[in-house]
Amino acid sequence: MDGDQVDWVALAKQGDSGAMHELYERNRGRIYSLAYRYAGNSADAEDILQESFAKAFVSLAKCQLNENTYFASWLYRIAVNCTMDHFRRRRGPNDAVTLDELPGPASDGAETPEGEFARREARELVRHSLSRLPRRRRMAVVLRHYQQMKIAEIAVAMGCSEGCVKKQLFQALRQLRRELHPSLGGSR
Amino acid sequence: MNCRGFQKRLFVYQDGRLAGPDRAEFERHGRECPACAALMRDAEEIGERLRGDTAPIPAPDWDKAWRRIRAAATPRRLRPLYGLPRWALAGAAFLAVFVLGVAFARLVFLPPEAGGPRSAGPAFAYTPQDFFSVLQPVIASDPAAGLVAEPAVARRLLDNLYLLKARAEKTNDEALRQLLADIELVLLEIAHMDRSDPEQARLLGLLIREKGLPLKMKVFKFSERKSTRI
Repeated sequence: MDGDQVDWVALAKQGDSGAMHELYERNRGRIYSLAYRYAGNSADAEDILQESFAKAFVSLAKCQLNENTYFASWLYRIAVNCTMDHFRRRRGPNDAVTLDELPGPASDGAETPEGEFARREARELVRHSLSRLPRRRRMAVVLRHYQQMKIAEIAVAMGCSEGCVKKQLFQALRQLRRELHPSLGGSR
Repeated sequence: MNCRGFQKRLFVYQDGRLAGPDRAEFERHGRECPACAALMRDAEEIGERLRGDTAPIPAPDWDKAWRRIRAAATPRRLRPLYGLPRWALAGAAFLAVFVLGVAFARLVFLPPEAGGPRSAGPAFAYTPQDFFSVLQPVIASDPAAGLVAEPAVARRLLDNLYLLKARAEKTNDEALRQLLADIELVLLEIAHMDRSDPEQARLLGLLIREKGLPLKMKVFKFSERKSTRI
């Protein structure tokens, strides 16, 4: 995918609006998904999406992207920073977000109403606990579980060491275990 | 492997990057330690719950978002106003404010400056005639009667004299040069004398008379006027 984007990146560097739009079309889904999973609502997610791409295109014009850096991972890093900055500005250090807008899980139709209710309740509980995590821990969890990223990839996206990512994930796991204790099967 | 080592390797193990003896040791500790086994199960369950959240995300208005991105990423060009670019107007406004500020600061903070000479004393003369006119009261006064010019006035006149002396040397005007040399002597005396000492005042009066300065100046002025008429 990245190799296919090289020409678009070169054109976008020269200010080609069509190339910028192409890069936007190819990457918008991932960036919006990250922002939405982190923020829990579409208004903040749209703001983050716009800010991330605008910053990326302005930086691209100043040739900050060198040949060895792939556009998608570079953009992802910008998006991660924008996401955390967005909530740092708006809500301060303990920026618990509301997840009311998050849609319920998709039903396969074969499940009983009671079973579906139990599953939905369990997921709502996880989402709520996730929303109470500090910014960096929450970002590490979102990248790990929603974006299916490995430790090394998260470290690149968050601009820190692998050790730091492992520490953030472990602290997040400890906090989630504490909050979800009654509903978890493994801890009993 | 202890529990701490198990916790450190948990995510690396989940990534499938733990291999060989490390992996075997990790799995053995997970089987033997109930606390670590519970941690592992909880980690998997939490991850499963999060990953299982596959509900579709409501799509935003992609085109509207793109329009905003393009507007934010495009460098703003300053639109012209009244035929002039806005940066020129901004520059002119800045200059006007600066000039007004400086003028105001001078008015408020600087002491008023006299229209004439900066220091005390007569106005600066640019011709010998003017200089002699200014000098006349200083030379004609009677030092013995206490009528001696201020040292500051004498110094000011000396400055004026050096300018005229330099001109006289350039034009090779021997008569003027000699007259100015005599005046210089008198002015130096005035500039450095003790005005409270009557003896010094008397000697100054003698010097002026000996040099005949008032008469010489009158003659010089008269001859210059005559030569100008001719």
